Amino acid sequence: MNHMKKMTGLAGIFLLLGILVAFNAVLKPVRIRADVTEDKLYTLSDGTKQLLSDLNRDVTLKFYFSKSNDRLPVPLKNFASRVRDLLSEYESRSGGYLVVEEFDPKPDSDEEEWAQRYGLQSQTVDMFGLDGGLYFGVVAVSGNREAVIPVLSQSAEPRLEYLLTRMVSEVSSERSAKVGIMSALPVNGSSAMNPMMMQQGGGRSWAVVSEIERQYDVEQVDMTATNIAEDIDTLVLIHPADISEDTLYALDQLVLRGGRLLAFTDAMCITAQETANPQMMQMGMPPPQTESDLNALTSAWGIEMTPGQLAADEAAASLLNAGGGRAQRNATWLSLREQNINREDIATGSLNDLMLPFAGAFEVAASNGVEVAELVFTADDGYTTGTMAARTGDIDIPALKKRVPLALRVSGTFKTAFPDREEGLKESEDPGVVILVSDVDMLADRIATDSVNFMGQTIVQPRNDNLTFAVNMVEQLCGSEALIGLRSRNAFDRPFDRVIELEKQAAFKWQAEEERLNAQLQATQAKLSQLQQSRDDGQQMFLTPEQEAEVKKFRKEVFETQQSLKEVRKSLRRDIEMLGVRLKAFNILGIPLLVAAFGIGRGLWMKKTR
Amino acid sequence: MNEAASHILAVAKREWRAYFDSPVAYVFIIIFLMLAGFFTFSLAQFYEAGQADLNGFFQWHPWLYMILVPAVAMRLWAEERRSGTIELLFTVSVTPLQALLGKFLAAWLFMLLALLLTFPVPMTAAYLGSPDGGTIVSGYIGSGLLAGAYVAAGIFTSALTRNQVISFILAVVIGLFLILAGYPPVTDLLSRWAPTWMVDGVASFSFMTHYETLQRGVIDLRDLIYFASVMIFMLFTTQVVLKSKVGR
Repeated sequence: MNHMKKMTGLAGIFLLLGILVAFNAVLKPVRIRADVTEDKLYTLSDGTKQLLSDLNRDVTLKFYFSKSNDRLPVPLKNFASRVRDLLSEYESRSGGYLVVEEFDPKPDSDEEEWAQRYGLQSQTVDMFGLDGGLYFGVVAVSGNREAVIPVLSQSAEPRLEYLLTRMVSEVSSERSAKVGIMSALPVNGSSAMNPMMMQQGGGRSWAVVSEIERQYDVEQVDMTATNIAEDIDTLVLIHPADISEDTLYALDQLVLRGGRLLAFTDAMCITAQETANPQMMQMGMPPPQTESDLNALTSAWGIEMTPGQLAADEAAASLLNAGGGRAQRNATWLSLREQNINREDIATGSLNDLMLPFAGAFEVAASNGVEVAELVFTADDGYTTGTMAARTGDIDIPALKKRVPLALRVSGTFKTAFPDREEGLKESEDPGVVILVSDVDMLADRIATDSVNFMGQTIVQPRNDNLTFAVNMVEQLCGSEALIGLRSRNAFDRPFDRVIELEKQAAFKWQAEEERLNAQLQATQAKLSQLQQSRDDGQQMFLTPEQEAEVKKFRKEVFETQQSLKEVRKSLRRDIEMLGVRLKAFNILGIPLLVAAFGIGRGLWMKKTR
Repeated sequence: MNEAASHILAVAKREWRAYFDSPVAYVFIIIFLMLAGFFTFSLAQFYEAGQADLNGFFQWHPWLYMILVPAVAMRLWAEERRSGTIELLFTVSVTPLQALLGKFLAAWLFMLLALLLTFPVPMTAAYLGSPDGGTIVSGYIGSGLLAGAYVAAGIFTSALTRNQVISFILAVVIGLFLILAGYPPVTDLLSRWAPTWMVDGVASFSFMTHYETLQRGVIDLRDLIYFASVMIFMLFTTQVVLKSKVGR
């Protein structure tokens, strides 16, 4: 009887286990979830939702993942399941136009052949590659259009939505985007201004142009064009020096009809100077125009680049060769880092190293119906200075300090800058986008790339993120509206503001103390030289006994000052360390002590009442 | 139904009082809080990391619970069976299921109290920077559910044996399995002979995958159901064990 009972119990346990496992398995494809993060880090952004609901042709997303490979690490499988989740979110939001298919490309299968045909790359999972490869990528197919992410890596997770949305946007239109390139500089290598340079091998296109050509259908547009072809989706404008009013009007109309514009202008373009032909200058030709702006166009939107003024930032200053083997810090040759780049924008979120030599400064006044987003900027205590001072490096820091924008994205409904012209559009019908950058030199090969000679071959590699910046901008402009509003999912960064504030205060105090002690040192030094000069017996080389005593005193003072500076630094650091220790102690001991006190109190009370 | 609920509550109250009438509860809470604080601030270097999030705090909870929850739960049935009070308990019209649920509730609430007393950690994060409130709440929900699952496993092993030490060790082993089921050394071992579906199946039993989603700030129905399933299964199995041992 008891045995029977045990058997039924055991059967019941197995039955329940089966039911629960089955229930969990059945629920696996069901996605009911709440994203409670403040920035909705795991929810599709409005841009993507819009794009998906606007789809009007079938798109298939083919997800290739070697899930039958037994050797895959669990974190990778978990990442794959997050990708799968995201893909099904796309599917569910598309109103049936988007279908997700999953393939498991086993070795030597048809699926593997297709994966390879789409350009997916097999990665090795272990060191020896014995356990078969891993295919992990996504292909988007629609009509005769195809886009592919050949390898998905976990590091791309913050950009995953962007990558997928870009693919969908790319295949959902019939033709690929066309980019126009317009420049007063020989960006294509064919320098009309300087035949010498062509002979010297200067005939190569700028790396940035080659990179854009590699990805897009590119058409050259003349600097004097008075009409820009309708089929150009994005126009890249580099250093529009001496631009005519008619050409500006053509740009105006391009923007109003919904074309995208990416303009690099400069208050002091050193590349223009370098590419100039000395022979032509000797023949009395005018020197090349180093200044360019689009103020005649952009002032209608409330944006201007201040002529003759450059942006400066002490924290981003670069070391420059000042001649004679000397190096000098120059605050107008900007080496920009993460804190100068908009981390939230998808196009700039992954950049962390830009170099802008002598960049101009934008001034944003009332934005006339358009929205302005700052993509690259100086620190909050940046300032502007004249081009002459920038050249010599002798910059006077003005009292007025502020964050100076260096790259802006302007979007919204634009108004014409030429209201007096009779024909043409007066206001854009659909929201448009323009990106303005206040530096041209950042694109030049000398600044953006390093050429390495490897076994007789020149290999060009990026020196910083300048090229990526330019290509990301083109990519964003060529994509649909959805891509522009997309945030980078990098908002995981939440620094300790209080500690940063403490550090700032400490640095400030230290600076003040350092200045005070330095002044003291200088005063002592001045006293010493005064003593030396006051000797009128012609024996200035030798020190009198009192001077010697003074020197001794001076040395002692220097030593003491340095010691006290060290002390100041230590004590300031101590504040921050002490805060850490206090918080640690409070967290480890605070509540436990209270609980202990409460327990003892209650124990005593119970003993008394018993 | 109402009567059943009041029975469950009565048992829960009795167990709850039993915790706090002895110094064990205080000692346990103090150890839990000190370990949680030590792990967060010394091992995970919360302050030095400079990030106002609680990843370094929550990441240790599965391991803390693995050791501490069995200590809380091991007494629940083993003690009753050793001292023979179990027969007495069931004679006063309380069914084994009601007693089980009452004890589970008391132990879980006790764990939740200990968890709530870690509030200085999110307060510290909020003092130093601006943490994501939503993620913290969902992290606490995840940790609470995790504690519940461990308590259920601890109750099960406590019903299996009269010996509290054996109950403790068994519960630690189950906890360890549920943590490690998704980890490469375990899946590697399995994948030598088991088919992929089985390896994946075992990995999906792991607490970690479900706990991680909640730590990220996503409350997914599938994860909630997973934790509920673990608790239901453990409690049902305990019920079967109790019935066979007590013979009622």
